Amino acid sequence: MSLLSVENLSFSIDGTKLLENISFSLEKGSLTLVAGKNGSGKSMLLKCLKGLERPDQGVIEINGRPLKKERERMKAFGLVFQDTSLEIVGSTVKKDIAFGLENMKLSRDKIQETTDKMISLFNLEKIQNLPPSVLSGGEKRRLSIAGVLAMEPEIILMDEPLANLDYPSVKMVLSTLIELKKKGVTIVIVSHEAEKLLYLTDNTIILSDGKIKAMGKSRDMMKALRDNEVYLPPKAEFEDLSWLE
Amino acid sequence: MAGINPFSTMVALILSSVASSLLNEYEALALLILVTIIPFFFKVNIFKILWSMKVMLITALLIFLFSYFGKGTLLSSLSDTSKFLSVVALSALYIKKSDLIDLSTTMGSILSPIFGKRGRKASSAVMMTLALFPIIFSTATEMMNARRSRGGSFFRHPISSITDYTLSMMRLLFQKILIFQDALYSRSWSTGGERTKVILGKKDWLVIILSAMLFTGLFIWKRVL
Repeated sequence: MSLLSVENLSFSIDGTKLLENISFSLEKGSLTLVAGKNGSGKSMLLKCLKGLERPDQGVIEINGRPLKKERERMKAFGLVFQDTSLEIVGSTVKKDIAFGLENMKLSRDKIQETTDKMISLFNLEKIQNLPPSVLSGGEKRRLSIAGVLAMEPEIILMDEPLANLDYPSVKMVLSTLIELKKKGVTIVIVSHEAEKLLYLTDNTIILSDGKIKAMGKSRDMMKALRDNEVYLPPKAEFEDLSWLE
Repeated sequence: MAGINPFSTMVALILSSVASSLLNEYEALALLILVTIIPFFFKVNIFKILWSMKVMLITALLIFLFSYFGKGTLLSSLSDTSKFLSVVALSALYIKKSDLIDLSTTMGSILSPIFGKRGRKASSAVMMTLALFPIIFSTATEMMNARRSRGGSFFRHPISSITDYTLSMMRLLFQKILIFQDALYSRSWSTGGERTKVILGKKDWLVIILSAMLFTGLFIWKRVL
């Protein structure tokens, strides 16, 4: 049985369809890339899965159990936002990780245990008492992921995890994703940067105008990515701009 | 005040504020001197903090002027101003050294037995407001720099520039606030929702007991003896 099953998910605002009949399923421990051009509905898909937006129709199931209420989806999915400055609220790294756990009204002992576990898992020991404002982009992203993973969601959703990061930070985040994948965490990533993520992912879904244009194993999706103008050729010559035409 | 629960610092602040009303003129001045000197031992520059709260300094000046022209004596005016500034300085230290989230949770746990869910909603509102300040400032700076880089100037057409700037900033700010709200909700935060309580440790009890003893001692000395 698939971990996640989405059937006929649709969402519209003021009559404009932003998502139309989205259906897919994911296995536990898989890493899935959702790619597409701007306005294709990628971020909206994450919001509908997470329960931040109510879909017009559709069924979302985890382990065969339909998640009808928004609260159930809030608990089942963890969402890492693109802009970490709007997501990180704690005065220190440790307090930020504990924030979600305190909202769940867990005991202090459980919060301490989980926070220490996340700090160790994400190698945040040296910076755990620092304010998030002094962290690098990659460290902030790791902190965001740690804060979400601490709440033990079934699936982690990430919206543009590599956005606005320099090369060392990108490497840091990619390493983190590889580590999480090894530990069997199920992840869905929305990203424009297919060239950086494709080789890490198991599956790829291409969205266009709110619909799924193509879907399959990442290794079989190269042509579909190029055809849908999502992915650049890997070996473009510096002076050869023919790929721009 | 590092590592101390906001509840205990809140108790200390309330007791200090009430105690300051029992002091005579010289004692009030002495309190202000203490409040400005002691933070330096904790590597906190209280003058810098007070200078960043210019509105409070202006208020202190107004208190001094009204008191002077009302009561007519320099000493009592200085005393009234000193009491106000002491409470402001203690409050500033309290806010600075308290974690924003703990502060809000503590307020909620104090208000909720009296006002129920409304008490927790009020504390959530405080937390959101304090959390939004850095977002507001960064958005304002972002917009101002964007306009300057395109040759914009507030001095050429001040009214239309400020109106345009304010409207654009509000639009951008609301977008960011919606994302911020989504980020909070996605981590199970809810307005007025119950959270794990902030625990009182040994340091907290020490602060509460010391504050209570100082207040009680001062009260007895002033009112009874």
